[in-house]
Amino acid sequence: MVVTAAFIHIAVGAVAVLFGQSNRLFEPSLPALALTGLVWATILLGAFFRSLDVKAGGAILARRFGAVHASDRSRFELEQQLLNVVAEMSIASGTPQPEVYILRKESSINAFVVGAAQTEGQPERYAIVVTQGALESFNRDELQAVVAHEFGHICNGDLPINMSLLIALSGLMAIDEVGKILVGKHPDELLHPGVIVGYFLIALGSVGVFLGKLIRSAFSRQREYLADSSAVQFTRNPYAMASALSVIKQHQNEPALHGVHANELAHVCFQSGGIKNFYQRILSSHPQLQKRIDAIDPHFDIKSRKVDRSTDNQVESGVSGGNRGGVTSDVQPVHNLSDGAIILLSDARNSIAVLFALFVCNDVSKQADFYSAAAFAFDKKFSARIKEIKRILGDELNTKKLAIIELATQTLRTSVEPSARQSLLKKLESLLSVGDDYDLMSYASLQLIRGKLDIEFPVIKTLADDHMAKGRNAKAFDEMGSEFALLLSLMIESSGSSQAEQEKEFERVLKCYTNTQYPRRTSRETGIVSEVAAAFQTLYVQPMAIREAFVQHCVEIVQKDGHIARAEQTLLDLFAASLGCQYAA
Amino acid sequence: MSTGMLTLIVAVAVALVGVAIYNRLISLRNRNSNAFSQIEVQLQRRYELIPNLVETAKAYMAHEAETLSAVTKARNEASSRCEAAAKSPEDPSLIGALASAEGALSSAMGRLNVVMEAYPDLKADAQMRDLGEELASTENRVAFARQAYSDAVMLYNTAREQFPAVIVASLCSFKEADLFEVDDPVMKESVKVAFA
Repeated sequence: MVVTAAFIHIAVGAVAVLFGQSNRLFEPSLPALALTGLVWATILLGAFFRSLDVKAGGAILARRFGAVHASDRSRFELEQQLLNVVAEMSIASGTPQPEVYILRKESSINAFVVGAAQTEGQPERYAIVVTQGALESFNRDELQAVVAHEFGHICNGDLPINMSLLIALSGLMAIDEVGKILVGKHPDELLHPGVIVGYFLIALGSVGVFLGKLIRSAFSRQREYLADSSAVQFTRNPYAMASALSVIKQHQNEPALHGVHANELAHVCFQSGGIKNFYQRILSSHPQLQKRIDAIDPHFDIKSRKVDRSTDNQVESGVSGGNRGGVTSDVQPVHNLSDGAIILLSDARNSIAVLFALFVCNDVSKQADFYSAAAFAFDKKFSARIKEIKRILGDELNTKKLAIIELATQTLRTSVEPSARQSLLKKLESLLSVGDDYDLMSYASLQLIRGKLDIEFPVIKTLADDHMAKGRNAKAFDEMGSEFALLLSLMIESSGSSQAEQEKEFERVLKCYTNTQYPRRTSRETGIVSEVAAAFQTLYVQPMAIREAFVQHCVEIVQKDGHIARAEQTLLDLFAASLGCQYAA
Repeated sequence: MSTGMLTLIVAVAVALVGVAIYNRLISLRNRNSNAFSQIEVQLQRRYELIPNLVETAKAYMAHEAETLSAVTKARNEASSRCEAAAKSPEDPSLIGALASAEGALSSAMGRLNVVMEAYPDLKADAQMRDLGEELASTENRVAFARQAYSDAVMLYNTAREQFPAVIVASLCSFKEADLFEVDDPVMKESVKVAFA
């Protein structure tokens, strides 16, 4: 306050000197004194009126900011829920129940608590104010976390400080307001004395607000962490708190509050919006959202991905898993991975090691060869890491292969350069081709990883770029019969039905492509892998429509018996990835 | 300064510290009992809500009279035991009886919810949706009341056992408080409310 006072005096004096009214800074002339008086009167009046509101209690204050009482009529389902949540939290925190107010016209996501400090003979009267945007964007658990955060402020005794800060800020805002009114009256006359004073007041007001924000940011950020932790103590649900913060993070481009009181209220709110630059970081009343999330649950991002997957699967029966239309599936969706695996796969180095560990065969005598080869290709440490991961994840590597590949490649895509990914894949490929058990499933997994890492087939790339070869590669539909026959027979074989059925099905589907008879192939043949690779190379340069139709056909074949086996899913993903197209299950 | 004077000063200081500790223990103990009465308040709220639920459900599921009557029976049992426990909160056996009755009610409610899954009309009923939210909230309140009680008990017990408070506690017979614990793992499960 002293700093602000000195600042105002110097500013007013300086203006007086500038206009030649006075020649000494500290002996102001009469107009300058009048101006100083006006500024002070405005500040004190603004602060005085706000302090009356604060004294009158939280409910009055909430109404001043345009909030209405939450309705318990069933028409306002969300508000009813909010009332319940507030009641629950007041039990959990052991504080008297505050009144609940809603900012119905406010689309931003925020909440705050206001109220008078305890006066003699009267109970504390707090009011929790929640924006309509918050009601609509949060689910029940998240709303509970936000309300618990506000209760945290109450229990930690933040309100008296917050309220005095609110009063001081209101006073400073008042100059700004008066300045705007003065300017607004004479918008055309720039040199009208009223306008000059108005602009001066606005300038002074903005400096005052700047100072206010600086003061506010100094002590409100730590209190936010404290309130967050209290909220978790009350709800015992750190996940909901972190998820509420991440909901806000997704809406970071919106202001924290739209209304005219946004600046006054910033320090009491649940959040203060996104932080984009250094200036905002210094002045922000709240810590950065990511830091708050990290403080509550450092692994939240990974866990939320897990939950997102499970809801995605429920909603649209995603690529892996789900059972829409009576189709059952062996394939484990990502969210079925153990927590250990999920945390392991969030790190890029571990993800690489996990990818290698996938190809470690279960035959112990052959494992040593693989590890020594890996040690040769990278170094001993990396080989040891693969061994460690094989030990930790154990059976999960076999049973949840697809989910692991999905998650590992997801991590690598975001954190590893494309060129590095390519060389990683090359090493993996060469390591595999050396071993004698390079079967179709290993090949499929490898190609799947290739697809998920967004790496094109190196051979296909050169073929497709080669304009001279274009005419040669675009084959007639019928000429590719052997390729189709090969892929289709593999697809059908993976369904695991009886030989006779497989034969019948193969005949049926092959008719869709060609009239020529081809023998049915099996994955047990030697050299089948290179044949499959060659078939993909032929098909890859065909028009997109043909490739998509083929993959979609495969989806139908797979779903025909109403069950997706793990081998089928792997092959399907392999086909789609190798042919560079998506499919809808 | 004479020895007598010195002794007097030390005695006064010790007495002041003792009084401060005593007052702190008293306030913690009261908070404790208040937290316990909160559990009862919320349990009562649940007992009042369940007949409404049963009434609404009756209209839709005439064939499930058995399940509904089981819920009503368990509710009445728990309600009467709750009243008994509220009258003499010191008696741990009454609290144990209440806890087991609560467990029976919870499992009856669980069965009802499973059965209700088969009645989409019931789940779509507007009144049922309101009740669903109310019930979910009540379950939460019971849980939070228990949580608050456990926290209060922990604070009180810790304060009571620490030195030098332990001397004051044993002099003024501050007894150790019990947690509201349920032994049977089945009873620890809450009633699942899944109308949506």
